[in-house]
Formats: sequence, structure tokens, C-alpha cells
Amino acid sequence: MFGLKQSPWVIHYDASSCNGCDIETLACLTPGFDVERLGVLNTGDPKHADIFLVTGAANEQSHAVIRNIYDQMPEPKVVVAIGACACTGGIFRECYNISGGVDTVIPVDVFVPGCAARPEAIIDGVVQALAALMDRRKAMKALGKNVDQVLYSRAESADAARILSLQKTAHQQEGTIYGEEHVPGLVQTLPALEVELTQRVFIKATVNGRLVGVARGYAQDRTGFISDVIVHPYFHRCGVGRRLLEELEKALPDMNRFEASIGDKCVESAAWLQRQGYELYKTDSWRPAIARVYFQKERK
Amino acid sequence: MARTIIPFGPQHPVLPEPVHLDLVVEDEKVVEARPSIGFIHRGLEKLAEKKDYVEFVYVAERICGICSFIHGQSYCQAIETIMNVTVPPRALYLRTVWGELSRIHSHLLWLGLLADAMGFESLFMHSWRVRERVLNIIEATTGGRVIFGSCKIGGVRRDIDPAMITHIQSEMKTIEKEMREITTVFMNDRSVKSRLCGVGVLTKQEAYELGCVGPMLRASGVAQDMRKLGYAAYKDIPVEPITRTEGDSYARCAVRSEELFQSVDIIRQALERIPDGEIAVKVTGNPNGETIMRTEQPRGEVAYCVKATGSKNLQRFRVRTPTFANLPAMLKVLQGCDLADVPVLVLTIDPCISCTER
Amino acid sequence: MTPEQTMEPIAVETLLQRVQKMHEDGYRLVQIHATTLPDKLEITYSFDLDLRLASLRLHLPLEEPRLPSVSTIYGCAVLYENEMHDLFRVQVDGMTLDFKGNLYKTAVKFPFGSTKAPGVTCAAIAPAPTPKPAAGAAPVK
Repeated sequence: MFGLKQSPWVIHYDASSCNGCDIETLACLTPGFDVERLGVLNTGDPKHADIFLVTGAANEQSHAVIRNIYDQMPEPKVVVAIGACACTGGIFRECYNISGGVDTVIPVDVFVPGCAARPEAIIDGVVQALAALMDRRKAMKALGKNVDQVLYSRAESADAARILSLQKTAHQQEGTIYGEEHVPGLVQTLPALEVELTQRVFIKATVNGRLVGVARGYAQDRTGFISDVIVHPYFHRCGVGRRLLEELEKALPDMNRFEASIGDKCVESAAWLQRQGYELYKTDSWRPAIARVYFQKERK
Repeated sequence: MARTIIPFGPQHPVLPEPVHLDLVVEDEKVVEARPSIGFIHRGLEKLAEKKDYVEFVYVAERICGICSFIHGQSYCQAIETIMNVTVPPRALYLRTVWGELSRIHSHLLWLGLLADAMGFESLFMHSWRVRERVLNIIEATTGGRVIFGSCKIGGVRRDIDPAMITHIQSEMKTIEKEMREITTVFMNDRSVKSRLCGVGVLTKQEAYELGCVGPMLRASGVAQDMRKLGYAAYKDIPVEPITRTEGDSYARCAVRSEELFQSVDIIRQALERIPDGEIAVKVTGNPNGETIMRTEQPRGEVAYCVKATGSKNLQRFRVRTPTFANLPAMLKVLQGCDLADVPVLVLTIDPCISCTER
Repeated sequence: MTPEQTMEPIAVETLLQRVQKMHEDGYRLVQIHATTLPDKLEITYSFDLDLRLASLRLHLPLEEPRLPSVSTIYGCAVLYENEMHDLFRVQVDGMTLDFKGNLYKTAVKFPFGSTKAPGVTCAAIAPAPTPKPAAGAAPVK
């Protein structure tokens, strides 16, 4: 995550400001201040962004928008409230349509004062946000390592949308190797997943209510088939996958053996399966030009 | 053909401010645009009941951070008209200088955003680079970059000394030269022309009927500019409205480009002819009366309706901002346009949503 | 230098006729705004022709104010009229584009509306005093 610190991507939203802070935020990106030379990029897509710059106080109609943008940003993320209005409501505090600062809607990490906030102050705020971003990243890793704080439970049909979003994130590497159309996890639709949820066993891992991993499988002729174990990239190498696999095996009792299959080019996944005690037993051609390797494990 | 509704905004890469449009499209053509506003509605008109009329200058300046000074100036003029205050001539000239500096910085900002909407990134950066020079002058004379707080009822708060006047005059030369380079690109570049010429045409009749103001109206051939009312120093420095007849996005860009140099000229004349004397008079008592004050902002005519009943709080404060008047025209030009032209067309009215929704 | 502003009181019944006349004379609609006076609602229509500002003014009762729409004459009036409805609770009949109270979504309904109008409690005008519960009192639901 070195790049996160070296090149944070920011997204800007005007909650209900007078424009003063907005144009100063934009001025930071243009000659004179030019934070792009330091790697700070302005993006219009919440899913690309690490830092959320909010200007203006929160009004009745912008609540939902602020929340929506915030929810769509990937973890770890930090919020910078720019200007007096975003911090406290400022001069508009007493207006009937203003509920106060942005912190009345979402958690804010850095407050940048000023009316309008000066570009220097905004840049300073972003630098402080970087420190907060790195702290959050560390905390997330620590949380992932401490398996006791990850909650493992059966997934329900209500989780379908979140599982779909997670599997689209987690299968990106395979998509790059084989092409997206050949990865079942990337082409699956929400209705298809909802059906699958009723037919197979799903175990989910959650941290603070946030879905970070899913394992799914099914039983057939006393063999437990492990269809998929996915973990959010931030929680890789934290033991979440191992625990998910264990829980899934427990949820499929009375099985003599377990079987899992993956694409032959997914060397990292193959190595991981071998670390979990699975052994390679056969290879076949799944689709033209895609070879598949099969792993198995006897129940002890 | 089946119709599709595409939501545009409120958070959109091309918009620094939130506005939401439901674009009804048939294939790639926009058939209808339905706006929904209110994302920045603060309700500041109601603040007049809580803040007294002197304090309210600060609120008026914060209606919008781009044309902040002219908002403050218009409000002060409205109160001064009601209270029959004679503002010293030097203050009127200073207001004119700051007002025109605001206009230059606003138009440069708009030109940059337009270039950004067209995908002409380098032009965007150059426009904003020159704008920084203007902001430097503003900062040197008022202390603020975008919100100055230098206007007050009865005059202005700060004076400009002769050394600073010389500095501004020499700086204006550089700014004018650099603006000439930028506007030459806007007016002559093939890629700019291909995005703007013939896009979003508004005839003279349509523009007038739809209640357009400012550059929108002038680009369609109506010579209307509130500075001709002769407020501040415009009674001594005549302003001839700059008009074009095509009524398309290119004409709107041309009008704003030429207004940059008109403003430079006004600043130059104002600084040469600035009279000596006081910069403010003391104002006592409470306003009692009513007026509708109109001034010319970068985006067009703004109307301040102020009604006072002799107490320190105004009975009614209402501002009709230029973008509010230009919104119907925006919806009109969006009808029948290509979906890919929507960002440019939304920007050609120079939308200031903070102003509009107050 | 500043041309005189004119303000002419009219009756609600003659509104459409007068606005139609303005339109025929080539006036541009500058703005429409409402003001809450202690006993009535004041509506002002301002028009411009060659920098001359002519305003028409009419009064409405505070309770259930109603007004015919001028949007068939001046299309751009819809925004002003919707605004009047959302902020002042003025019922404008026959708007060519009716947002049905959704132009502004405000935390307080009809924030400028009269407190005397039935069914309106306007926190912005008269904030209800928050009763302080006595120590140990059960929370009021």
C-alpha cells in the first residue's frame, strides 16, 4: 500500500457550500498550487477515491448523497471537511435547511477551517488525511490478523448484493488472466446468486458488519465440493480464508473427502490450497484453452 | 423508439456543484431534461430575520463564492438606496475595480471549466493559471482570495494606495497579454470550434422569452447589460454591451472572452480616474423602505428585493440570481442535443448552483 | 441616471390580463417573489423593458393563498411559482411544469409560510420550547 500514501485519489462533493471552498479545492489542482505533481488525483468516481473532500454544510437533500458517496468508497477511506460550513455549519448554521457540519452525516477525520478555506490549508488537510489513512490501513490489517474479531456465520439471502460486489472485487486477478467472460464469479448475476444462496452452503466473514470474505460449497455423494473461497484484497494473508475454509468443512459434515478445482494459471490459489492440506490429483480441460486443476483432501 | 432516462448528477465529474437532471434520451439524443434542484438550498433568505441588516452583508457575500463581491455590493447598494446614503466617489470606484476583477476571475474560471468539459485539459490549466494572477491582486488589496469582505454599507472597508494602483496597472498588462493568448485558442482552435459552433442555439426571440440574462442573452443578440443603469462608477465609465448574434455555445464563449478585455479596460479607466477622498460614510439608524436593486454579475443580471420596516432586521430579503433566470434556457437547449454534449451545454449557461438555490 | 422603478398594485382577478399586456408590450419577466406580512401575503411580479423596471403587486390572504399561474404567458415563470409554492405554501393553479412541492426539499415544510395557516407548524418562525424533563422522569415518547 505504498502507492496509497504516494498518490492518494480524492473525490470532491459540494454538500451545500457557497462555492468559495469548491473553487479553492479546484484551485489546488491547477497551476499555482498544483497538487497533481505530488500524485494527488481528482476523480469523479467514488469507487476510485481514498479521500473524500466535502465542502459546505449538510442540508436536507444532500444527506443522502454524502452518505451514498461515502458508502461507495473502498476501505480504508478518510473524510476531510473543508471550510467553516463543512466543519460546523458556519454562517448558515441557523438556516432552516442546514443540519450542521458534515460530521452530522458521516464521520469526519480532518477539519480544515477558513471561510473560504485557503488552498494551503486544504493541502495541509489532505496531508493530515494521509496520516489518518495510513493509520486506518494499519488498524484494518491488525483487525484482520486477530481472527477472534472476525465474525464467521452462515450467509443469508439478504447478503446477496454484498457477496456479489465482493466476488467482483476478489476475482479481478483471474479476470485479467482468463478474460472476464470465463470467470463464473465475474459473470454471475444477482438473481443467479440469490438462487445459489438457497442451494449451497455459504459462510461469510464480517468485520464490523462489513463483509470481507465468503466461502461456498455443496455436498454430493459424500464429497464436499468447495466452489469458492474469496477474501477482500485488504484482508489477504490474515488467516481469514483458512478460517472460512475450516468453517465450511465443518458445515458439510459426514463427508469423506473434499474437492476443489481452480484454473491452472492461478498459481497463488493453488499454493494456498496446498497449504490448507489439499493435494493435486487431476487436470482436465474445462473449456477450450482453459485447463483446470483439481485438488482433494481426505477428512481426518 | 424506446425512451431511457439517464440520471445526470448531483455528483458528476464535470460539475463542481451538484445539480440533478433526468435526461430522457432516445438513442443518443436528449428529448427532454427534467431538473431537480435543492441540493444546496440553505434558506439564507430567512437568515435576514436573525441577523441585522449590517451583519447581513456577510451572508450576502456568501450566497456565492465566485461572484461574492458583487453580491455584497448589490446588497449594500440596495440598503444605501433605501437609507438615502451617499457613498463617497472613491468607494464607488474601488467597488467598480473589485467588481471587475471578480468578473475577470469568474470568466476565466468558466473558460477553464468549459475547456475541462470539452476534455481540453491544458487550456483548463492555462485559464486557471492566469486566474491565479487575478486572485493575487485581489488578495493583495483585500486580504481574501474568493470572499473579500471589503464592501460595507456606506462604502468600502479598505483603500488601495498609489503604489498598489501602479502595481495593479502593470499586472493588468501581463494579465491582458496572457488572456489574449488563451482567448485566441478558444476562438480559433479547431477542436474547440467543433465542440461549440452550432451547439445549443438559442434565437434572440427564445432567449428573451425564456427570461435569459447576461452573456446568455447578449450571445443571442440582445444588448442588455445592467451596468448601463449607471451604478457605482459606471455612470462615469460607459459600458457598451458586447453582443453576438449566433446564439450558440461558441457565441456565449466569445461574449465572455471579449468581456474579459472590457473589464480590463474598465479597471484601467477606473484606476486612472479614481478620485481622492473618503472611502466610507458612517451609517446610522435602521432602513425603512423597499427597493429592487439590479446589478450586472459575471453571469448576468441579479435582482435584490429588499424590504425593511424600520427595525434592524429586514422584513424580506430576496435575491433572484442570474443562473435562476438562465435555467429555463438550459433546459431548452438540452432538448434535442447529443448526450455527449450535455456537459458542455450545462456549462455554457455558466451555472452557479449556490447562487440559484441560496 | 437610475430609471425610476414603478410599483403598481393590482387585484388577483386582473393578474393574467395585466401580465398578458406586459408580454405584448415586450417586457421581460425579471422575477416573482412573495413576502409574508403580518396580516397578508404580498406577491410582486417584476418586468423589465430597456432597463425600466415595472412591478405589479397583489395581496393574498394568509390562509390558503391561491394564485393563477402566469406560466402559460411567460414559460420561465414556473420556477418562481414552484418556489413560491415550496417556500410560502402558495397554491399556484395551472403551472405548465408542476414539481408538486419537490423543487426544494426542505427540512421544514413551507419555511416562509405563515404560522397562521392551518396545519403548519413552522419551527423556523416559532421554535417550540423544548421541555426539560425533570430528573428521573421517564423519557417522553
